[in-house]
Amino acid sequence: MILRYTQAALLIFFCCFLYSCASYNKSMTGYYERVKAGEYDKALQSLQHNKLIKKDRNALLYNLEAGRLYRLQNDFVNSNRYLNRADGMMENNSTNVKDVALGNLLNPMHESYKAEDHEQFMVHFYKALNYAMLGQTEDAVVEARRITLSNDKQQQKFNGNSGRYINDAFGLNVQGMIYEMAGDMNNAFISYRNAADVYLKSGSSYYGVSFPSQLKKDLLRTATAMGFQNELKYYEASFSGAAPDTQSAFGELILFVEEGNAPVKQQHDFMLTSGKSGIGNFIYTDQNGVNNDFNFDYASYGISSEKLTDVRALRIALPAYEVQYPAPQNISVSSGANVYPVQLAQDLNTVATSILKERFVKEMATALARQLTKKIVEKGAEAATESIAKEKNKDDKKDTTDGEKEKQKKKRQEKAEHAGEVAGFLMNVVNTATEKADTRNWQSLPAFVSYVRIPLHEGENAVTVKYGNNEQVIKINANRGIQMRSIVL
Amino acid sequence: MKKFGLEQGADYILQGSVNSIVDAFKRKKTVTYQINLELTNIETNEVVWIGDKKISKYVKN
Repeated sequence: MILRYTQAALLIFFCCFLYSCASYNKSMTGYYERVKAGEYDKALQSLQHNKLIKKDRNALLYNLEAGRLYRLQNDFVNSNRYLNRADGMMENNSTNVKDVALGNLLNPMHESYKAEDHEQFMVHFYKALNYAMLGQTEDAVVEARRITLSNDKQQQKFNGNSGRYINDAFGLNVQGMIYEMAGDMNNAFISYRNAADVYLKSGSSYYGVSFPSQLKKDLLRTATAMGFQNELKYYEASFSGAAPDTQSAFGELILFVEEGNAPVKQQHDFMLTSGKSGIGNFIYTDQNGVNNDFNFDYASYGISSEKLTDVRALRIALPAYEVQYPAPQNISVSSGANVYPVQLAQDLNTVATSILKERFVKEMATALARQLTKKIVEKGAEAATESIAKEKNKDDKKDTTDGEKEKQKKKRQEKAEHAGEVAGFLMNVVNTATEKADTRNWQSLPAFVSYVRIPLHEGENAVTVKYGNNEQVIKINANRGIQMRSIVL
Repeated sequence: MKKFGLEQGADYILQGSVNSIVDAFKRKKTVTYQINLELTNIETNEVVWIGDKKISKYVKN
């Protein structure tokens, strides 16, 4: 009877195992392939019919992806509709009890998706570009102000620990451009200066991007326009050799070039074995085959040390990024007879992978706490089933001898222990099957964003972007102000 | 006595602005909204009513 029960239950649990094996990327392959191929309306259909992304816990991802897709189709109004929803969700993200419970019992894929740090700034970037394309400059300036709020929030996240990602230099640079587009030179100078300070403090490069010379020129130009002589002298000395450029009277185009695809999260399994230096010390082997020590602060997760004494080995799953598009192409932008140099503004490969690496210790500790909670549940199931089985088997026959009673008692105990072991084993199977890493992220982001500022002449301008054997031409009319556009390679 | 359903144009226009200031630290945030409104008689251009209100909201994540 117990054997049949075991067989049936095992069958069901292995079905669950097969179902839950795929990472987020694999479940969404159809959608991402279509986006890469440029079939945006088919991709949209695929997105709207995908069951995984339509779930409540992935609502933020759905809004981000829909916002990106509509933008790629040049539908800026709808793009902002979804991006605004995403922005609102990111602003109000709070951990609720259900999330924590599900995360501890199952795996982090069942928690609500909380955006990565850089995704917040990319949302502001796209929203501002959308508003700029629609001519809604005031709304673009609101985005600029929201970049300040997001940057402040980012700084407060890590208590000013400069080893973590506390400033988004790209966001600050874009903020300066938005203010300049709106004619607010004072705020533009402040934003450019904040971005410049981040680059100056970080040495040769900040998360994969070296100080763009265009930013140096912008800073000096806005300082001159505001008449800030002291700042002008200070930064001229710091930059050594950059001079502010003059702008065309007919206006300027800031062209952003987006290329490639953001890195994709994959699952990495780690075996943690208990180490020698006491309770809570574990050893694991990382990707390079090196053995590392890991000290688990079990008290802060509410786990008592007795629960750890008989734990020998644990398997945990953690996410790690796989870069899809390793290096930017050689891009040449020309307008008329002049060629303008394109500079890297944001390297999402480096930013994304660094942010995850910086979080590694915390992620491992959370995964470990989850595994231990599951082990406790297993032992609990074992004990409970054992005691229930002992209760059930109390149907003695009245007229039996003492010897037989002893035999029956032993048999009962064995049966109960067996039932307990089976229950514990089933729980173990479920726990192993449901252990997955959170492999969700906004994967239709580009890998690199570069930019160039092109002075325009009166009337219609034709800007040619050449990359590899391809080229795209952008036709734009000068409007005596700054215009912002973006193209996707 | 005005009758219904005979509107051809408005008599008054209500204009204003909504401003917000956000004060945030980690997961606690105070948003202060200031709403300024003016009610203007379209015919005579007379500002009939001016009002403003400050609303503060405390958000804890």
